[in-house]
Amino acid sequence: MNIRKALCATTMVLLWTVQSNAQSPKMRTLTEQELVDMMLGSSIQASRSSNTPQTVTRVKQALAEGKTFKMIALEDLPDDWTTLTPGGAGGGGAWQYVIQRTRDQKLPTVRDGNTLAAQELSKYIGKPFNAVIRTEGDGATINGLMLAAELGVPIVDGCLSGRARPEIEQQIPWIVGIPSYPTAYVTRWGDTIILDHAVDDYRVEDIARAIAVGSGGGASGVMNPMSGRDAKRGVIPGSLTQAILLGKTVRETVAQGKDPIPAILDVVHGYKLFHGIVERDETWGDRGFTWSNVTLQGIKEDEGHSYKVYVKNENIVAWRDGVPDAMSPDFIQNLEPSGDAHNGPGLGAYRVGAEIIMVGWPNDPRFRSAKGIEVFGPRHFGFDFDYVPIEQLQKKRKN
Amino acid sequence: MKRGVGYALWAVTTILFCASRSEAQNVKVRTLTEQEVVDLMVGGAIQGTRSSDTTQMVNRAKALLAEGKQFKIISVDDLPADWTTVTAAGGIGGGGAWDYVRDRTKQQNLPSVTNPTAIGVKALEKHLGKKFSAVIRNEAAGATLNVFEVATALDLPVVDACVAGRAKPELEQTLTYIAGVNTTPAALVTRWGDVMFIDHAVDDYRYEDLGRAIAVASGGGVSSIRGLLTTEQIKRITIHGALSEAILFGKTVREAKAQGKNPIEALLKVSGGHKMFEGVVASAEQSGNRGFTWWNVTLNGTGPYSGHKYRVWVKNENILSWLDDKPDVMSPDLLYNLDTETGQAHNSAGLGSYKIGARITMIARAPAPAWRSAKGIEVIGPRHFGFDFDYVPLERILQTRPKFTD
Repeated sequence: MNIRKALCATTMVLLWTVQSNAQSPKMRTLTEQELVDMMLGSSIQASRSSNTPQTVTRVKQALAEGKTFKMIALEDLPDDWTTLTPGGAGGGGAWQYVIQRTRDQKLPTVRDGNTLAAQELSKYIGKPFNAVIRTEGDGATINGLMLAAELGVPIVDGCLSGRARPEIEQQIPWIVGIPSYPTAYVTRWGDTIILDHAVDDYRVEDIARAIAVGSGGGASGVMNPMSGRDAKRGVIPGSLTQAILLGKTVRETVAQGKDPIPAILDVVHGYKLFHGIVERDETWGDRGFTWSNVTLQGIKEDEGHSYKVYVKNENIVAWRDGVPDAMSPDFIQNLEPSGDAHNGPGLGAYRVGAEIIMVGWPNDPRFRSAKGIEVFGPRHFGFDFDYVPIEQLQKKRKN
Repeated sequence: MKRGVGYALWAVTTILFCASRSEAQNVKVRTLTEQEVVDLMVGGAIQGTRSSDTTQMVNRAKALLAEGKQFKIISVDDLPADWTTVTAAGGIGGGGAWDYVRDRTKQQNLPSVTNPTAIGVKALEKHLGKKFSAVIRNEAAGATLNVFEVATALDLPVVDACVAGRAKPELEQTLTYIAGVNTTPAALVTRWGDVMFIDHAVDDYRYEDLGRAIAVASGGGVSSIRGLLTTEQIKRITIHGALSEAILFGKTVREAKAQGKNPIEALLKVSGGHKMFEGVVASAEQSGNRGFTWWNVTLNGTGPYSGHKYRVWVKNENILSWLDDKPDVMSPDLLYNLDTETGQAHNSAGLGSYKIGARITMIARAPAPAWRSAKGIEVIGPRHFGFDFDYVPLERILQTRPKFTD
C-alpha cells in the first residue's frame, strides 16, 4: 500500500517535471521584414558608422538557407537557463609579421569561429547554452542571431550595452557585478583559448584585444555565460524590439516621402545635435582600436557652426563650437539624411564630404551610475571633465 | 567469514600502501648541495647565449635554500615511464608593453600574485585532469632559477635535461617543436593572477604570437606552462644532462678563478667551445616593440684581436655575429658573451643588452644535433630572422676565418 502511494507520488512528480520542461517558454519566430528592420535599427543604435546593406544581405542569405530566428523576451527567460554572448574582439594595429607569416605558411582558416568558441565554452563550463544575448548595437545583432540559429536557441530581446562600445568592461553586467569570464576565443586559424579567470573585466578587455592584435586583427569569441536570473539584472530589456521599431519607422517614413530623422527622435526620445558636412577625419589604428578625430562644418540650420567628434571605434564625445554637446555612455549617432547610420570607410571612421545628421539620446540608467560613468564616461577616455547627461547639455544649449 | 573479509581488506590496503611507498622510494631523486646550486646558477647563465644577472640568480637561489627549499633533480635515465613532465619555467617577455595597462593597474593598486607559474601548473592539472610529476627547463639563463622556483613551490623534481639547451627568443624554438610535438595544451598566468588555457594552437608559432600578445597586454610578461611531455618523449627529444652541464660550467669557472687560472680557457676545455673574439663594447643600439628586445652591438678587439671589429645581432639572445663584416657565428650555433675577467655571463641591465666599455670574450659551440636539422635551421637559422644568407656551421666558419693566437 505504502509502496504504491510512494510510486504514485513519484510518478506524479516525474510527470510534472517532464511537463514543465516540455512547456517551453514563450518565444516567437521573427519575420523577414522584422529582421531587415532590425538590421537597420541596430545600425542606428550603434553610435558609430555601420554597414546596413551588408547585415541585411547576411540575414536574407541566412533566411534563404532555411535558418529561423527566434526571440524571447527578457522577462520570459527561465531563471535556470544559461545564456551567452558573442564577444569577439577587433584588432586595429594588428601585428603585420603575423599576417605575413601565416600567409607565407598558407595556414587554412576555420569558419564560424563564434560557434566553435561557444562549443569550447560549453564544454568548459559543462552546460549547454539555452539563449544568446547581443553585446551591443551594429553588427553584433547579426552575429548574435547567427550564433543563436547555429545553436538552435532563441536570441534574447535585450542587450549588454545598448549602443556599441569599444571596451568589454563597458557593459551592464560588469557594472552590476557580473563578470564576463569565463570566456572562449577562436582565432581565424582555429587556435582555441579559454580565459578561465580574470581579476576584472578590464583585464578581459586587455587580453581579448591582445589576442586580436596577435591574430591578424580580430578573434571570434563568446563571453558572459549568465544564468537567466543574472541576465534579468544585467541586461537592457527590449533592445531588439526597439531596433525593429527604428527600422520600421525609417522604412515607412521614407516610403511616405517624409524626413525620417524626427521620426527616429520620437522613438528614442532623442535630440538632433548637428547637421553638417564631414570636413576632416584623421584615423589611426593601434593596439586593437581605431581612433578618429572628426570635424564637421554646419549646413542649413547649423550654418556657420562646427562640430567635433572623438571616436574610439565608436563616437565617444562630441563638441559643438568647442563646447561639449554629448558624451558616452549616452548614444551619439552619425546618421545619413536617409535615416540610416553613416556607412563610413572602416570602423568608426567618417567619409570626408558626407552629409551627416548627428543625433543623441540617453543610455540605460545603470550606465549613468558612478561605476557606469567610471568605465564609460569621458574621464575613462582621458578627458579632464565630468560626464554630463545629454538632457542637461541640450537644455543648457537651448537656453 | 566476516573476519576473513576484514583481513583481506587490510592485506590489500597494506600491499597498496607499500607499493605506492616503494614506488616513491624507487625514484632516484638527488638533492643538490648549496655549492652545486650556486654553480648551477652560474653555469645556467653561461648557457644562456645572452647577458644575465648571475649574482641576482645566485642570491635568489640562496634565499630559497635559506627558506629550507630543496633543489631536487632527476636524471632522464631514472624517470619513471608513466610520468608526465611539464615545461614550466621562464615566462614570455613583453618588450613594448602597453603603457595604458601599466598605468591603469598601477592606479587600481592591483595586487600581484606570488609564483604565477606554480598557480598555472595547478590550474592546468585541474583543467586537464592530469598529475604532473616533474618539471623541465624550457631554456637556459634565468629559467634555470625559475624552474626551481616552480619545482620547489610544488615540491617536484626538475629533470636533468632541457628542451633548448640555450636561451632563445621565440617559443617555437624548441627541440620538442622540431620533433613535431606541439606545446599546447598550455596555461598562461599574468602577474595579477588572470588564468588562461590555450587548449589548442595550430602550431607553436601561433602559441608564440598569442603568448607574446598577452605578455604585451599584461605589463610586459606572462608565465607560460606548457609542453606536457611523456618520459618517452623526454628520452627521445630533449638534451640530457643539461643541468649537470650547467653545474660543470659554474664549477669550472669558479675553480679556475680560485686557482688563478684563466676561467675562459678552462671553460673552453670542458665545453668543447671556441674562442671567437675578445674586446671592449663600443656601441649597443636598442630597438624594441611587440615583446622583444633587439640590439646591434659592436666590439673593438683587444689583445690578439686589436684592430678588428666584432658585431653581434641580438634578438633577446645572441643570434648572429660578424668578424670585420664577414658573417661569423650563426644561430642555431651557440654564441656566449662572457665577462673576460670572470668567465661568467656578461652582466648588463636589460634583456640581451651589452654594457658600453665592458670587456667581453665571445665563445661559440656546436648545439645539440637536432638544432642543425632542416626544421631546426628553419625555426632559428639566419633566414628565420630575416637575413638573406644560409646557415653555415661553426666548424666550416672556423676553417676559413683568420687565426688569432692568444
